Amino acid sequence: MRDFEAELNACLPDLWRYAMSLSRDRDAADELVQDCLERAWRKRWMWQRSRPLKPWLMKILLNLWRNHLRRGRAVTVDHATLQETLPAVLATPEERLHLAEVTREIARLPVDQREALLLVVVGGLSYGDAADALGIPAGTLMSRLSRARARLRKAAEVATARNKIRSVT
Amino acid sequence: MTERNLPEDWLQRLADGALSGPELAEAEARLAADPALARQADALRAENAAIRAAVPQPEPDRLAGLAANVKLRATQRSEAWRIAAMAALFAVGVGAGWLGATGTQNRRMADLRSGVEALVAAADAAHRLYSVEVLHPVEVGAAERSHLNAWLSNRLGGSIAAPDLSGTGFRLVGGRLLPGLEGAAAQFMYEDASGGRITLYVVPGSGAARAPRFETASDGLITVAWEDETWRFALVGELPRASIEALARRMQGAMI
Repeated sequence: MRDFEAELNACLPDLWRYAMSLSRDRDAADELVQDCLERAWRKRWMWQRSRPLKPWLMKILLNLWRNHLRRGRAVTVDHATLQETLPAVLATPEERLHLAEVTREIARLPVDQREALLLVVVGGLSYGDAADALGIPAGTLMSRLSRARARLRKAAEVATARNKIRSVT
Repeated sequence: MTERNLPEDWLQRLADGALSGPELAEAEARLAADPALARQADALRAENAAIRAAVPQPEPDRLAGLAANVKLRATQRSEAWRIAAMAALFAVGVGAGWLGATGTQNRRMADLRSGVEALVAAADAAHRLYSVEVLHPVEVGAAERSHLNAWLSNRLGGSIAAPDLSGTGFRLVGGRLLPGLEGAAAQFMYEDASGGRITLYVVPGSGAARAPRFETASDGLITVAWEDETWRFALVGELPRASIEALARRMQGAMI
């Protein structure tokens, strides 16, 4: 029999990172994870032991996040937030710049594409689990992912072109 | 060609680790045979890596703290309900004398809920329970002040912050969420150098500002209750009346 608490704790890093990637705010991420854990403890009888806990937790977190947005809290990715929330270990300024660009572009994605992309890439859910957590068919998930990636790629090309022009002039 | 047959589809699956067994073997064979595809696959992997790298890793202590908070809250829920029940009983005891003849039970309860007696009783009960607590006096400590303020504001439905008492000899210990008179309440705890504690109990207000009013509890506790446009406050402590009044004024000033 699996231990609920041990499994819960094993999911914490990915859960926090997903919350962080959605909100770009450490306090908001803490709050989301705490509310998520509280809900999970309260509803633990609903968890089926034969199934992994992580998709269920991600689904709870996602619902909390959507409620959070519904209360009119916008996600703002300004310069200060970026500097504060990008990993401190990055070596080069170029690397920081690149990741700041990626972060900004992710924030600009339509909300359904952003939720899907981050759930798979940062949250680490399989396609099946992610589709289930988002309440959409697997095919829809795949097309959201590829549309999100197409947008990011396009934005990266524009940024590269811009930088080239800048370095030429 | 349908969308499903676009190279992107399986390339994406490959980058997201969604291929296994023969599918994975086939994908790898195709990449080996086609350098252009291999470059696309590398680009996708690099994109995924960048998205991941842009999200910080949580400090293990931070996560452990969050998990511990939640567990504490879950186990203290029953305790919190006991306080609420105690507060209600106290209020009925106080109110029965002067409300005895005024009307129905419902009316009486409504009056009690809005009365300053109920506020003071709840604040005193919470103070008695937590000010003596050694291991877990607060749910969220002063080190996480901004989180504490954000969390309690969220739960109380309005912007609330622990007032700054610097210069008074009292420092913030932290705060917790409690049941209020109707919904949620916040308790902020402060401590002086000798370990003496005062607590500020806050619930959403009725919209009418009220001047400070003193209530003396039986065994040395003094409670000052007041109200501004948004909140109702009760400051509780075992201090001389003049000292607690000065602290209450300071808090009132800090809240504006």
